Amino acid sequence: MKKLFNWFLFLILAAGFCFFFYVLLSYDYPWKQIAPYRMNLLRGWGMTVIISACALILSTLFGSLLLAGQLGNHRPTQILSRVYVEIIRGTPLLVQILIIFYMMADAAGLENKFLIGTLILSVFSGAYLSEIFRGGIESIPKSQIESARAIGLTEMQIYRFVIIPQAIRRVLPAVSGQFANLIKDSSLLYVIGFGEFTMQARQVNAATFSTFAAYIPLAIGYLILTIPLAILSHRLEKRFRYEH
Amino acid sequence: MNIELRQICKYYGDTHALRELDLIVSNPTNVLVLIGPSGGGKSTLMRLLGGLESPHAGNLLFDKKILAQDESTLLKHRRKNGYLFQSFNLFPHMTARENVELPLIQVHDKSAEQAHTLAAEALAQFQLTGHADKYPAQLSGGQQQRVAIARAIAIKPRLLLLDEPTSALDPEMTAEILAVIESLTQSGQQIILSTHEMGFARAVADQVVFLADGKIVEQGAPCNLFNQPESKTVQNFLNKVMRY
Repeated sequence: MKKLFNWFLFLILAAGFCFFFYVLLSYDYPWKQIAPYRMNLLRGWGMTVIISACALILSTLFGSLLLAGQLGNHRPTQILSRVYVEIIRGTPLLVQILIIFYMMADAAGLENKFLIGTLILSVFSGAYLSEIFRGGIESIPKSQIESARAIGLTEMQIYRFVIIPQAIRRVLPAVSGQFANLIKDSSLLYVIGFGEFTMQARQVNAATFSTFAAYIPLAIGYLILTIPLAILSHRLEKRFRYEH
Repeated sequence: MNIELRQICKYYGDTHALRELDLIVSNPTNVLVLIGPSGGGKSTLMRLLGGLESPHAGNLLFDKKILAQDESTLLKHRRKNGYLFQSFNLFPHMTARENVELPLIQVHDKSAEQAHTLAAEALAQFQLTGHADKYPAQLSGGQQQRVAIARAIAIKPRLLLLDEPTSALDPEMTAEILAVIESLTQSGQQIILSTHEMGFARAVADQVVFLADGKIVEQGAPCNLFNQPESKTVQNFLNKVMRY
């Protein structure tokens, strides 16, 4: 029965893939049209890499601060951190980009689109990261903390030597998943006219009067970034499996 | 050891774990054993003696001095003494050696070299030299508990508190750990042990305390308490557990 179900699943997936490649290959794909614009696409891809890397660092910082806010025992900070996380997680990124770009950045006198884009992505991704971090820290059994207290570690030392090293191992897969999301989400920054990968692809389409010619290279460009991340996460997961 | 407890009360919600408990233990007692039914307050008493928790009322006196219940005094108290849990509680992300070295370096200000030597000695004392570089998950329950004992002993604790150290072990490993504890008592280590191993309690204890319902029902030398228990509760308990 189980075997039958597996074959059923396999058939559906295989059919899906076949259909996709059939459409792709049977189509007379306009590679020639977009070829002259490959440098634009490459430049856009580079921009996506750079802004994702910056946002990755900044969002880790935001996430850590929000985590500290939620774990600390200062009630008002706790509440504000919580509210922040819920607002960010409860609204679409596109809406956040539009609001931050058209209202808040304007009011704050910010004009650099790279800077605004990095900020928006970090604000967004930081909220998710803080939740992932929190889950990791709360998953450490109380007995570990007990034991750490019993040998005489201070609260800071308990975090440093016992909780955080174990929590990091546990959250790595989720964090690398979130980083992959961050890279993909940066594509939405085209709405504010930031020259990243998706924006460039749309411009190539416009210049060649095609509706989608640049989208397949676009998809491949994102995969080049996200697949290594997935492999890395898988490896790290394996490396830290001794705990189980 | 010189310990006095005065009118100790401890609640967990509605449960009275300890009710106005009084206890005096004075020299030449070196090994104090707590016995009694589960839920009778043994673990709670151990945790208070170890400075892991504070009583809601009453005083603990060590060497005739009241143990203040502020965090920094309790931390000092925990640093002086060793504590062993029933579930080993080693740090899973550290090797056996690193587990033993951590408190030496971070709490007791030993250099890395000193810690290395002391850890090697402690591990050798419990026949763990060959396992020093293994992670807890690679060790048997008995080996893990021996590492935990090595970690507690390496700091040369004034008092070693063992909270049901064999409850999570099979009979063979239990025998292994009891032999280790017996060797510690022979070397003059001051020990407070809570256990369900009546034969062992009788063999190693200088003083036995029977706890039930959060109170001390009977206290005395093992030959008296096991041979001619005065109270009905102790008689019934011993009849029940010694029957088979």
